[in-house]
Amino acid sequence: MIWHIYKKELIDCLRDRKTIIFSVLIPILLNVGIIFFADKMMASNQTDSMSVAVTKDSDASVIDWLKDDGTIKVIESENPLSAVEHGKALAALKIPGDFSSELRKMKSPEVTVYTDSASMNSGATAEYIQNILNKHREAIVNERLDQLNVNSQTIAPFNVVEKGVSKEDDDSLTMIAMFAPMIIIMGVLGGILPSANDIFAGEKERKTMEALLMAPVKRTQLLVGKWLTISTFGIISGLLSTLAFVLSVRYLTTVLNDALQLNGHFTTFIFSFLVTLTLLALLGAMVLCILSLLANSVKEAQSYTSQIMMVAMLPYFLLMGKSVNELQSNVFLIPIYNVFALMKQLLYGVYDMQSLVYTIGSLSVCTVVLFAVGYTMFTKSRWVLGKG
Amino acid sequence: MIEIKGVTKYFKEKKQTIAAVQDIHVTIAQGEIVGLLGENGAGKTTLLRMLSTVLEPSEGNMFIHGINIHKQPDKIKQKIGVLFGGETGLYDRLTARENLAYFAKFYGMSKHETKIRIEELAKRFGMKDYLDRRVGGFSKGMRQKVAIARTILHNPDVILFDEPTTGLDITSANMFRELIKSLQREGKTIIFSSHIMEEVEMLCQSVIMIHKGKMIYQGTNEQLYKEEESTDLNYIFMSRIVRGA
Repeated sequence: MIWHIYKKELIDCLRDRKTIIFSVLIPILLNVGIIFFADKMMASNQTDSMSVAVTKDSDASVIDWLKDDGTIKVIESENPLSAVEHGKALAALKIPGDFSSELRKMKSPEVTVYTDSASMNSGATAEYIQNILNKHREAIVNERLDQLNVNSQTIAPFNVVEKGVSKEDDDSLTMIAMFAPMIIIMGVLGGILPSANDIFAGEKERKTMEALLMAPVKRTQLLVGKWLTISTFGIISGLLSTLAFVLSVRYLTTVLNDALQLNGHFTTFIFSFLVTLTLLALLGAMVLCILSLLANSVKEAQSYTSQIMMVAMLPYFLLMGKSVNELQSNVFLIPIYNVFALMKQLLYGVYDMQSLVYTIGSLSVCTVVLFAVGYTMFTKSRWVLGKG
Repeated sequence: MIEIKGVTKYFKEKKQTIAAVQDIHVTIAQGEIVGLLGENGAGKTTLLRMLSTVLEPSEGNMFIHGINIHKQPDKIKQKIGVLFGGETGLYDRLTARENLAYFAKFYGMSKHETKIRIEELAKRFGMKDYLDRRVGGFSKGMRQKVAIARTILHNPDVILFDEPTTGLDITSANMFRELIKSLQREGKTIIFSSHIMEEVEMLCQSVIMIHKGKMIYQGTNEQLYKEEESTDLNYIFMSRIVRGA
């Protein structure tokens, strides 16, 4: 009987083409677009020159230092600050005209770097300029020390070098780890949402629920059949989102494509991914079944379920600044949070059995508890029939 | 035979307990058509929902053919057919045939039985032309025919109709009245709730009047006309409501 209900619900939902297009296919296309533009943005960041505005009377030697680097594009302007404000240059430099003569007189002339504090590119350009100027300052210091017969190590007793230990230093992988969990999990929830609203709140609104309850069929069978249908939409939508993500990264991107490597862990990755995705869909479907049962109409259900999407995305933001090395075992016991954490681990090539077991266990227990709540509600006429 | 013994139904609303139906005692013989009369909110639908097993009474018992409705709901569901008017309860994205076949399986009908029964009902209600079209594009009359077909799909002994002609055009309403007559000839027991007194007078041998959840009359039409010295059911109904008995 469950199969009979499941089959009917599946056909019924699949025939609602508008909902499928707007809640599953269009978000997938939008995600593909986001990935494509993120890649283009990263590629342009690597190749674009940094423009710096200076006045015509700036000292020529400093201008030459910048030009010699090759990345800096020097723009002469009567008002360099205005050039930054109007987006014609990323940064502006105020270089005194007598900079070289002041240096020779052993004075300390000042170079000022102006940036647009709202622009990340402007900040990066300023940092880049400061590195160039610092290198030349060190060279001058060394030259002066040599003239005084003083070893340059006198003023540099030791050096500090910063090096990353994990793959997270790879910008492309960081981007992949940022986009993938969000796109996949939103894909699952995007598939669940319209079907859950339609199957419970929609049936109450159209009074088909009442007709069903009058038929000789057990409520457990009805609930399971409907729940499995909603979960199926979540799984299919999640898989489609994943497929679209992988294909778009593979064939539409250049920088991000380098980061998408499974390095021989294909089976483990697929197993962990599919199990987690399925459990997430089952859990998400049951949460939305409950919310849909609370509502008397599809409109009311939509207002409840849109809030839950925001809550579901909270772990994503909490995990944003965290490295996979910082994730302790106990965080894998927190439902939903553990799905985002596990996906991050998988993308960084960390295959930890304990994390997987904790995630599966936590999601399963949570689903069973929610099923009990959903079943209790489904047996009460107040929830199952709604008002009127 | 339907027996309702001291049935009361309470609903909790904003910390208040409201009795939608109070201490109803009714006996309906097999093959009888009974009109259920009452204003909006009188308790007609609640009573029919309890008979259809969807709601459980707070007090009292209900029996169909001697079987307690709420102790053996699955057995009762096989014997009753229910149609709540206004809302036909059909799936818009399924065809008429798919709607009927979906419910047929719940009644334990085989694929073969379902096919034959659907063809039979399609012929009876003139639905053959649109049997394989999606219900979403149907007129109110067409939808009502499919809903009626679903109600009697499993050939139930007892049929409950809650304002089934609401919103129907004259042709569809007449078709429906003819159906009731033919179901009576087949020996079905029918409870028929309606606002249209002429319809009740035309189809029912007896009536039940409910006012504010309480039964204010049960008996044959003839007996009622005799008691009230009038044959105008509309007038009788209004005067009974004013008197509250």
